[in-house]
Amino acid sequence: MISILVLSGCSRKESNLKNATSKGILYVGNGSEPQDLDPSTVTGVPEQRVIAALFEGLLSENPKTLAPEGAVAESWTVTHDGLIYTFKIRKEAKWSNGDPLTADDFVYAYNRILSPKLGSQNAYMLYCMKNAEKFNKGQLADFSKVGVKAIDKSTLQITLGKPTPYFLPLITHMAWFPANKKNIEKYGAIDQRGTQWTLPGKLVGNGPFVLKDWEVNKVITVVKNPQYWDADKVKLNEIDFFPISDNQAEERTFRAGQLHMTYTVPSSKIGYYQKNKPSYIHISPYLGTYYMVFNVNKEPFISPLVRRALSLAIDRKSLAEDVVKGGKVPAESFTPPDTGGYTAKTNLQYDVKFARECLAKAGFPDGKGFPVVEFMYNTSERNRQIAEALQAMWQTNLNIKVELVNKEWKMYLDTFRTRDFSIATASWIGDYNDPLTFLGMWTSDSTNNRAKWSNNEYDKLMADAAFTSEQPLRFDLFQEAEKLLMEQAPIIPLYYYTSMALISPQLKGWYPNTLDHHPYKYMSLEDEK
Amino acid sequence: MFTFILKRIIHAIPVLLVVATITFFLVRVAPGGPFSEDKTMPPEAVASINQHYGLDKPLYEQYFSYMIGLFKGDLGPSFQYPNRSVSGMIADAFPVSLELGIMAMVFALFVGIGLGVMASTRPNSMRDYSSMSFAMIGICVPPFVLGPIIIWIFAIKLEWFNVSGWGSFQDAVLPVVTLGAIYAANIARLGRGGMLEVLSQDYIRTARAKGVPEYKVIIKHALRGGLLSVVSYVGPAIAGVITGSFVVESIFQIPGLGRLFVLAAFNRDYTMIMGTVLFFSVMILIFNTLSDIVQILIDPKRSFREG
Repeated sequence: MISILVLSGCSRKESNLKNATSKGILYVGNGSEPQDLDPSTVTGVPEQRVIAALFEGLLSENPKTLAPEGAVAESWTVTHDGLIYTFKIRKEAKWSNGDPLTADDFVYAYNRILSPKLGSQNAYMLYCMKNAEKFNKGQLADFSKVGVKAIDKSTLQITLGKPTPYFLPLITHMAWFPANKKNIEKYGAIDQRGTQWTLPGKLVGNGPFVLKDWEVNKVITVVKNPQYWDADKVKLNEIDFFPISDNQAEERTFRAGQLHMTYTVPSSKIGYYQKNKPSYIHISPYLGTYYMVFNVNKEPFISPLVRRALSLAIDRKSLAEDVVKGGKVPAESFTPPDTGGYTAKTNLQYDVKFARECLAKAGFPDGKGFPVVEFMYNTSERNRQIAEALQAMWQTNLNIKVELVNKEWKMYLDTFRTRDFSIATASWIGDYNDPLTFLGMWTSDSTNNRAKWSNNEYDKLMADAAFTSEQPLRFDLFQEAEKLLMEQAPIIPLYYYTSMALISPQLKGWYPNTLDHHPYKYMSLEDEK
Repeated sequence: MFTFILKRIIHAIPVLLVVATITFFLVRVAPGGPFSEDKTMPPEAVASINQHYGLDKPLYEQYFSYMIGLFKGDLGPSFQYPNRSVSGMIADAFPVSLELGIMAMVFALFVGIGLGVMASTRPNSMRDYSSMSFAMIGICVPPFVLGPIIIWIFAIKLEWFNVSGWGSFQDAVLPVVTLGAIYAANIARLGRGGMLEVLSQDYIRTARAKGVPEYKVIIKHALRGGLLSVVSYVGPAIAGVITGSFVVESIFQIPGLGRLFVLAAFNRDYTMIMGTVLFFSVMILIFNTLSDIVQILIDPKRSFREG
């Protein structure tokens, strides 16, 4: 075996990365294989990262601050009541096939994503638009009654159902991207799923790059789009997205000089990079929370006192720093700090004495009579470590026994449907930079409310916030709601996420931010001196 | 031989039907569906997707419409990759796994037979022990350990080969070795056993007594009989090796069938699971038949009539 290797031991050609850098080709490790590249139907993060190169909305995010900036729209105005937005579309905006990009392309895209038959999981992102929800749920058949209108080719008017202070950041999301009617309908009807239009040679986009090649499980190649309105600013000639779902394999590929950037770092390698190559590793706060959810309709967790007791008995600091590592921050609230300018004032303390009192009040003094409950997590090394740490904390601090049950991902998801769980781990990544994406999921009618917790006071606070356009007043209502959520404890936040990346020194124009969005338009490659 | 093959084909049809039926119902019994995701979908969206893929119909109806499609050669669209067909994806991935598998098998045969013959010619010597310990290591060290170790040595430290990817010689060497090692080890052990048995036979003693040189005794007289067990092992093994290995393909980022199959199971991509399982079954049936044919050809005691 060795002899064969030695015989063939011609040394690897010039470093892949050096070669790519000189040609302006960016190599990106992109997680799992994208399912599709249709901005109206996909939901996954790897898909989103490729789509960000191929399409652009009315506004785009500043790479450092995420503040919305003009993209396809060069300017916009809003009426005093905050209900009608008028966007002026750039004359020079074009599709990658040379077609002019007009206001109608946005109206068409919103008609498409809201079509009930398309069954888009992102349709709810448009619900702030007047009548959008009704149309999407089939309660309204006439799309012209939905609050979007092309006044002329370069003027788009969007009417909201209620004031939405986070509307401008919201429309940078891919659900709000335009669609090329002529091209989409070449391959199927407006509301047909799974047509061929997103394949190479067929996809027509409007972003800084165009799709050149897509080999499943191998690579997605995009090249610079000469038709892009701001093409002069685009410095990269090509981006190759490699689907590497195993983060250990991805790190090896990076270390061997075959990638410029990754979106993950295996936790076993964080220490190595921090010590030996600190300029390569980037850890920054991320808009996500890891938490535990109770089945509040199942004993013994019907009692808020029991839930609260379990929350109080957790040493979050030790959990984040000694168990999870990677710069994770112990959670004080469900909404991560500085989400769209909002930071919760709640404080989840570690208070064993108080926890025992709560448990005793609920009828389980010193844990006596407390049934053995199951703690479910989906199979992963990290989840197992967390579950074991919590199991030990509850046993020591409250004298209660918890059995760990790990389930394969789809089985885990199915368990929420069958309601056959007591406590489970979960995580939530914000869809947009506003506290509503976190707090909105715990209202009685939310489909993501896995606790099935229902509280009239909470629902009322959230309903009031929905009709408040003044940001400070709105944030006050969120503060109250968050406080109630922590006291009632249908969920127990454990820590806030961080995003981690390996970035080679040749890559410039990559900036850390809380959404882990990195627009390729601003990136460039420079040879190392 | 023709009737032999024809008989095998006729036997294969009910086998495939049973495989298809069992797989169809087994995947439906597994908890969680192809479209259950972390963010709960609104019921309207779920209904519209189920309708699109016919999942709203009764199970027996879904079964019959799938089987009718199957007879027409249509494996349906992938649920996970909505704009791609299952047959198209298998057609893209199979050549990659085939190429990798053949290279790994050639590597395994060379190394395995070499080690096996080497060991058998001097049983219980240093040569025997060292080649067999080498084979034992090959069997005991799983690919997910061997792969990262040889990557670290040959790709990261020595920089001879690429860590991952598929397309050049530099990409292929490490996965071929990782995938082939365990087969090489098994072949070495089987080869040694078979050769030892043959080498103790009378006709070998006769050949030696007649003064035939040792290398000729081994190559001309012993090898054919000694490798029978290797042949019966290699047939099904080829079917396994060319249909891809999830572990090796994941370590080295190779776009082959193994990843497609395992990820389909994780994602409950019903049509893709069906497609890959049926494809694997066909491959196993083909290579079992081929291995029988080769065995009959080299073993004078057997004939095609036995069926």
